Amino acid sequence: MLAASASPVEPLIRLRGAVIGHGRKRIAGPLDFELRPHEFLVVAGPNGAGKSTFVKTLLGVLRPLQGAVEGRGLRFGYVPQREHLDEIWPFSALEIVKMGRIPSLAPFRFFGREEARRALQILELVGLLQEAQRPFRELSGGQQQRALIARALFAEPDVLILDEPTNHLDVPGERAVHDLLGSIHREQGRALVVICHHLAPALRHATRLAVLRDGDLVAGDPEVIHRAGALGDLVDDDFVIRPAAPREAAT
Amino acid sequence: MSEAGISFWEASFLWRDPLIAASLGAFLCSLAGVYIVLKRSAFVGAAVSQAAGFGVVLALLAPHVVGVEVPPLGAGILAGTLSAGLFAVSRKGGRVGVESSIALAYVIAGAGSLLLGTFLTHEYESVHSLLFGDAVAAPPDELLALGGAALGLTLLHLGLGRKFIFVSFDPETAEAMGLAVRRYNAALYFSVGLSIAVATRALGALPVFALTIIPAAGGLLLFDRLRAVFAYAIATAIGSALVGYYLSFVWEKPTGAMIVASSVLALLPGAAWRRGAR
Repeated sequence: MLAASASPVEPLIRLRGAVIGHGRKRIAGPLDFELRPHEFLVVAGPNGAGKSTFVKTLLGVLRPLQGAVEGRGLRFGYVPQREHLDEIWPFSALEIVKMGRIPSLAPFRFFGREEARRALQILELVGLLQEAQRPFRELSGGQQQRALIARALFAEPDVLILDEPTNHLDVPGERAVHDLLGSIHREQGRALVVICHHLAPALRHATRLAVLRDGDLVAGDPEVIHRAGALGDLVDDDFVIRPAAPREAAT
Repeated sequence: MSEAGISFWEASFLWRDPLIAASLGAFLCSLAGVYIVLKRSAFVGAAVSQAAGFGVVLALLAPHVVGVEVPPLGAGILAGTLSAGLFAVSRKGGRVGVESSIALAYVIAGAGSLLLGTFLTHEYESVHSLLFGDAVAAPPDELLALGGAALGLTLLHLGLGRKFIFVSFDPETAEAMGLAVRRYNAALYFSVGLSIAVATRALGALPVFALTIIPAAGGLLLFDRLRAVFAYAIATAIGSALVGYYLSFVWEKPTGAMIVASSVLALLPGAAWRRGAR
């Protein structure tokens, strides 16, 4: 297990000897790991390695079987796998975004003008302002994904976590979502944690890579992790990490 | 004008309380029904009705078996609400699954009511009335239960409705963002169970099943906004209860069946709209 080296910056979340799993089933660990402010972390690993369990442990949804998770009252934004949502529900894109503040909404309180204005601003940020009143179920896969990212942003999170956000998207859609995440990271300075299988577009923007495999976690600079061979068969033999072009980085 | 020669309006002393009870029951069914249909758990209504009936049978047996008087209406509401609570804790990915839990509750409660009901030969009429409703009479305790449930659940949904919607639509994200999903889900199923158990006594099992499903389905066919679906479901459910009751009086047909028949009208605008849109 290669843990993050001691950082001068106070981490947002710290795992100390954490054994992660469901119920009594141990999946990985003990893990020592720190999620730092402003980092763009990509979490990779083969199916069943425990990526979702790792992220749910960071979120505090799952308690570690052993060890500890330390955080300090963080606000999370979460983007689930789009396929988990049932399209029978009749919501507009704007209504989806507003859900981001439902957890903090007091009983008998309703959204006011300020919240509506902010929700529209965020829809504009993700390029969906024109679709604000369109039914969510009628949006394309990429548009739905952007609406879900907007919902997570509407919560004004300290950490934005995305579970395979580009599943079943075509190549332009996938690139658009990752470029959006890159610009959110650069412009808003939030910490991002992205689980994904298709690593090339995600690693264009990542500042750190964590690989879960065989119950162990390796985390560090993406280039270093790749050169150390930790990605193994998760990528092709000729895989190279291409950083985002300066033009993209500036947009 | 009925055969007895008394007009509907002249007979207002006969139908006023039952009609209020039917309207309140329809309101409760439609409010719960939107969640039931959206959660794709249509048979929750049927299972809760059966469980409520089983509770009534147990309450009527209690004096003979354990020598304790138990109010049947209260026992029915408690059994119906508890059964809905069990559905709330059934996990979607569990070994049995929510749908099977609902079916099991329906079968066990239904068979139990039939079996134990055979020991209640003297109370047959009251068992039948309590199980399947009695739309021509609405005693004060029933009106009180309906009014209390309607007021309480309206307040509950005004206060926590958005959280119920979020945990029902996207429980994974709701939990990740700090909502106590199990607790809200349990509160939602409690409200569904209470609504159906109380309404079953007033309207009967079949009208309750119809009024939970049909108005909500009609709203979903017609609208792309949840608020509009709720408004349509509530309005058409109450309308079905009123129209069904009126027609049953003037045509002298069974009230429950006429309410069900009237509720089918709620599907027509949406079905026509969808057909036109194709």
